[in-house]
Amino acid sequence: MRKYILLAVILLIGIAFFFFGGNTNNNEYKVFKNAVMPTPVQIAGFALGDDVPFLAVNLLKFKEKAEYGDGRETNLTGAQAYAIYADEVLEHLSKVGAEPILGGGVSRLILGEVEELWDVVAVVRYPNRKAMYQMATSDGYMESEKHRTAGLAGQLNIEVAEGELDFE
Amino acid sequence: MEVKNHLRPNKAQMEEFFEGDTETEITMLNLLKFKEKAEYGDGRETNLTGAQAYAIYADEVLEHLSKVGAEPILGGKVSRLMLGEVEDLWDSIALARYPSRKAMVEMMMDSDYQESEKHRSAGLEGQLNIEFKEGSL
Repeated sequence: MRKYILLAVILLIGIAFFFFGGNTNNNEYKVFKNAVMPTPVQIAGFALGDDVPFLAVNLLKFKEKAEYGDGRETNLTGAQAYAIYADEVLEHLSKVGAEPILGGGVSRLILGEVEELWDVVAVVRYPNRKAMYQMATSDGYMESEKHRTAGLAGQLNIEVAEGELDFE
Repeated sequence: MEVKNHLRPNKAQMEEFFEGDTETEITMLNLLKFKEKAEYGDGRETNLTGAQAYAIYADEVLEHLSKVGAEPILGGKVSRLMLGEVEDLWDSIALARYPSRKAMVEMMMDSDYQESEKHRSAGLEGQLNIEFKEGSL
């Protein structure tokens, strides 16, 4: 009985979605690439722009097994190595006036298609671009960053000018 | 790697609303790409841009979210990509927190929501919507 109710609900939702718009879906497959390090152009971007706060939206994909740059032996998974970085980075963030906002493990994609779904979403607020650059180039950070590169297969990091959900 | 924005969930994505953990809190990261000009499903004339039509939806959806106990968290315009490459970068992002998958379905099934949704589909070319479970960073 429950199964039939479920089917009926799914059917109703299907009908509801059919009536929502009627626009055809013009979207095409687009290429994307996760990266561990920024390009020279992306690095140069830290010197440009206004001195205003922004959000960094990180979409993270971990390696199955951690691989350290210095070749050390490790039994850590990629996610475990990244967790060491995530723990240590809190102090580095706070030194430059940045703060983690929220984050967590990706459970599924509700809309759209991604060839390889990311593992984790993490959102951080920085006071300005200079602050992020300052953090990324500090000695202490670079020490912690070894765990990041050990664990991370790649990521997107999207810079967002925060507004009050104003889309105009 | 390839990525494709959509306007509507596919069949499997719809079914997932009723599978697994349907009762606990979820957070949605919306990566939005707008149409240049809004196009309404009923063919009405409009001078709105896609972003402007979506802004009507974004304004109206606040009430629909609150009815099912969901809340917008934050959002804004995408200014650049600091890491990685994306062929067609999204225009805006928005984060919302729902008490459960069930609550999200309840909102989508509401006829008032469906009325507001006309502005969404008028303005939105497509999007990714990533569901995640908030935990410690």
